[in-house]
Amino acid sequence: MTFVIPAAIILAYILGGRFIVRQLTGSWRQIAFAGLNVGGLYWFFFSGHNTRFALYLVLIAIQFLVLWLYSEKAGWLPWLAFFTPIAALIAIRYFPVLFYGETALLRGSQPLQRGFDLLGLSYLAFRCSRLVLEIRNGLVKRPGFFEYVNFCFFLPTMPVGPINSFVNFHNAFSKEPVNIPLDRAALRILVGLIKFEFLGTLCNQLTYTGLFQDDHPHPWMHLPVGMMFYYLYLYCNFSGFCDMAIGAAGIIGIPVAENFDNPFAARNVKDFWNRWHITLSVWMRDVVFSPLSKFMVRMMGPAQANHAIALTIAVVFLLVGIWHGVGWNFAAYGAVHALGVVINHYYTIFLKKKLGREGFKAYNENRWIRAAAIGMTFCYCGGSLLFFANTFPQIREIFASLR
Amino acid sequence: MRPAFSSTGQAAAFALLLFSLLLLPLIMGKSLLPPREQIYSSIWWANGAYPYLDQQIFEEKGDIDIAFIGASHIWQGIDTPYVQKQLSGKLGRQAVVRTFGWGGSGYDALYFIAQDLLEHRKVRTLVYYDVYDEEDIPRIPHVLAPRWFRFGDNAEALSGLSGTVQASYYFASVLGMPRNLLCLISPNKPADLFALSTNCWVIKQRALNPAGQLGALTEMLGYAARLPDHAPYMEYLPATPAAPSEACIYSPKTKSQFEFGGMQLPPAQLHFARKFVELAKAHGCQLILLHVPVLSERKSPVIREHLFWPDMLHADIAMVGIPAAKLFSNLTENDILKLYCDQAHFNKNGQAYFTTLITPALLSLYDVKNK
Amino acid sequence: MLKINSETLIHVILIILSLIILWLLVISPPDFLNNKIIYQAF
Repeated sequence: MTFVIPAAIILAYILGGRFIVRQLTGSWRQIAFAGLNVGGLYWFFFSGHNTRFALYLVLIAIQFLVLWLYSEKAGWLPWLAFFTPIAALIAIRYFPVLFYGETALLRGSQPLQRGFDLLGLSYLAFRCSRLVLEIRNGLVKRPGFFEYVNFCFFLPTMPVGPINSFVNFHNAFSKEPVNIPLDRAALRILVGLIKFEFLGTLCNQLTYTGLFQDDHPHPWMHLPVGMMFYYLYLYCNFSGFCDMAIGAAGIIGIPVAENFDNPFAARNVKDFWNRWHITLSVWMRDVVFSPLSKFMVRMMGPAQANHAIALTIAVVFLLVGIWHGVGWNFAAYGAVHALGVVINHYYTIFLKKKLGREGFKAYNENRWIRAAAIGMTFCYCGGSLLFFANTFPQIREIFASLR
Repeated sequence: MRPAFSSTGQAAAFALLLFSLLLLPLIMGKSLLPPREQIYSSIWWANGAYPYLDQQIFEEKGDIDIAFIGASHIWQGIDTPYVQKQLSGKLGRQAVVRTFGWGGSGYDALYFIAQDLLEHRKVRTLVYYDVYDEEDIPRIPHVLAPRWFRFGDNAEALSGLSGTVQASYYFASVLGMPRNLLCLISPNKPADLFALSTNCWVIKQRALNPAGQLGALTEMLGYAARLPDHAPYMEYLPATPAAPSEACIYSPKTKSQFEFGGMQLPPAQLHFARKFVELAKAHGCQLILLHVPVLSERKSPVIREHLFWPDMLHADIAMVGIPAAKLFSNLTENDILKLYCDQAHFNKNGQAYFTTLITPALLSLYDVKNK
Repeated sequence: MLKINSETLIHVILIILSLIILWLLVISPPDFLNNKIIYQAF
């Protein structure tokens, strides 16, 4: 019965959160909610790791201070507030020695494996930096400290996102909050739990860890099986958790952006990123792709616009890759997707030129072409996860085991 | 917030998927499952000597004189080549002695793996130990049940267990279905038992290849090897060892050297212990319960067992062991630690020492029953 | 007589199946779910 206490605490958190968000008013609401979020976060993820938890609190305090001082200033100063969370992410991830004096721990090991608990840090950095843009674009006013803490440490979205916007979060506390049907939210949680715990576990029997890490030789057939089932496992695991996060947030009364939209139906890699980890795609589009592509087109000239966009795509997806983790394998993952989207970009240009507008429309509506495209995209995206799931030595071991 | 399903059809498909997955073990039955050897060839060395078990159970054909079977205490407790050599000398022919060992205690694992063994090979004597570990209470089902428990093969073994435990085993077979289905489409490749580069025991645990040790796991590790400040391994044999005569076979004369009682076995564990004994009886195997001492009982003047096994399991089970106090007499605390790699497992030194003392008693029991 | 539409019926079936699965998950050892090495040798 080891599940009883965590389940009871989760339920208490959700019901307590709903009461606070829906029933309380005034400044006490944010303070009480902050107490709930910070307490829940500590209990679930940082118990016994007081130093790490304190570092997270210090990080949030510094980020808030910079936000408070610079986010509403004119000129380049808001960029200080924008880059502070990202700089913290880079520093903690790539220079953990700044936080740990024992350099012996890092000898021969990846920084990710040592030291600082990186729970949700990537998502936190992106949420907080995007908040600055939302303030700068006039979408929302600068939050108070407790609301900022709640936005940073909102328990359902802390571990793996979605990367919710502050506008969404703030609207829950407005005079006319979004009404989310309780039964819908509850079913989301239930379905998410089944995907995460049951379907994910079943698929995990045939992923790289479940299938290959057994010191045995394997037939070549096992490689595509492992690729496919890792893709399915990752979907069940990630989208399942997001379903639970969105459902729990929904019960509390806080709308959270969707992160998945039937990704296996993607017909090309670009479409894939409109359906998979949507909040990351939106962040990258708004924060990196849009401004960078404009800059590149200006630099290279309108005649080279297609190539400028292709270059921008490559940069964006390399960043997507390394955002996911430390290691050359993550960079390779990003590069594979960069290649996929760039190919799609040029292919689309080619088709439009060759087929014309009506022909291109017919091409897109042809169901056989669509089926083939979906199949190829599934294989491509599933195959690319080989780099996401394994370091290069692990990939070598997998191939060495194939007979 | 979007609903969980975009349409009723999608919800129905999801429900159908869950329903199908839950029913898969029933649908597959026995006839649609891949052969049982596929199970063993898909389990990692780190979980036990399963690749070796695969070869010994499903490929080797001859009779086995003595089979040591059980979880890690016996897997690491016996120097199998030594026992084989001694038995060969006694019999005047090449004896066949093997160890079938794995990680993780529990009578269910003992029963199901013994069942596979006895269905494929004739075994004269089964030596096992009480695999119920109070210090590390085994889960029921065993964590590897999704691998070797298949509803189509093993459902009848559940009869008599509580509904919750039966449901748990059924769920284990649900979780094991993906691997079984894959084995149907693409059978496993046989393991290369002597490929040292892929044997985690050899690479990481300084062990001799179990395949070369007739199944025994022989680790060359100092005490508390898994801790940063562990003792280094050094070859050691007690200068003033105990005598083989200190080994006791339970009888009215030696019963003062045994003590029975303490924690009761949970009903599910007892269920499988009984089934194991019935299985051995049905296959005409002699049963010997061997007491393998752990570090915490080093001062014990008696051999402690949970139950008086012959009465509890209604079977003729010979019980044998060495009171730990006698086994470790004349040894300092430091010397005793040189025999173990942790609280419960002998290293190479302890394995060799214990085996030389217990083997005469084992062989005399073998002799008695197999004349 | 209470009329139940198909959507509600499917949701009810789904919830029952999900609860059965959750119960099975709860009564089973947690190690089933992680594919962990059971013999923590290293």
